[in-house]
Amino acid sequence: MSKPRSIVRAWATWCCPAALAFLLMTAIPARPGLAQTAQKPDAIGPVEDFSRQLDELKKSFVELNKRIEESARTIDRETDPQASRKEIAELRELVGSLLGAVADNGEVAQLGAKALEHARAKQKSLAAETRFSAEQRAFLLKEWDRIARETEAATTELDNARGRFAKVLRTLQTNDDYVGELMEIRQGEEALKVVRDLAKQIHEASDMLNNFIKTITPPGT
Amino acid sequence: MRGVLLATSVLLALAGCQEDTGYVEIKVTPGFVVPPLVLGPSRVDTAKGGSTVLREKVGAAKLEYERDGRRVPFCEFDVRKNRIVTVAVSAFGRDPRCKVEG
Repeated sequence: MSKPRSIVRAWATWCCPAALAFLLMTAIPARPGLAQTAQKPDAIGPVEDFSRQLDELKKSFVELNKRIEESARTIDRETDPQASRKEIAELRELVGSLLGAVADNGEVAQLGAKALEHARAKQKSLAAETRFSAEQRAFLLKEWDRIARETEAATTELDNARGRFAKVLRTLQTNDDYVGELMEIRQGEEALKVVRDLAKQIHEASDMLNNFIKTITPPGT
Repeated sequence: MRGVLLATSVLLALAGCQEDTGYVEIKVTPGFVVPPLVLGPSRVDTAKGGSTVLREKVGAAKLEYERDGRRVPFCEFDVRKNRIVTVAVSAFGRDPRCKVEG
């Protein structure tokens, strides 16, 4: 019994470390292979991440630059007093065009007058007409009378429209300066909105740049 | 809504191809009887209540009255582009008089 025990002890003393050493030696060549597969994303991932972030950053800076140029142009435009004057002139032209159409010597008023004249002429001619029976003539006269009345009412509406447009045009020209100031306030608000939007975008770009710098800074520095 | 837009478009289209024009509003002061009035080629319907609005070429304009088949100018004023000038007509004796505003 004691002999086998000593053999086991001797094996444990000499062979176990050797076996361990052998196992370790055979395991070593396998490690780089394992490391290659496991570390592949770690080695290329940051590069891809870096180039993606760099692309995004470049793109966002180009866009931001464009936005700054556009905003500068917008603010120039919005703070130009000539622009508000031009806008009033355009408004006056628009109202003027409408007033021109409904003016007493305008196309629509003349059409209305012609239609009314025609209806009244028909009434007159029908009254002297002998081709129709009394009932037929009465019916036709009644219809033309209705048309004349309704055309007259429509031309009265035109008078009202004329009065309203004339009033608007007069208001525009008598309150030119005040309307100009109101328009400048509106333009000031537009400019403020542009500046706010721009500040927000610059802030976002700054955050992006900050994150990018963090990505390229080695840890511990 | 579509009707209003259509009507506005028609009005703008009708008035679109015009030379530089302004507007003259002629008001006959209530209670006065004035002879027939003429502004350029347009006759003013003085019998009509309220006011008359006429489209006129930009520049100097003359309001005239008709008497014995003659035109007598009695009021001169400027017509400015897309602006309205109001002419209030009253009378002194038989002859009309005017007051220009705007």
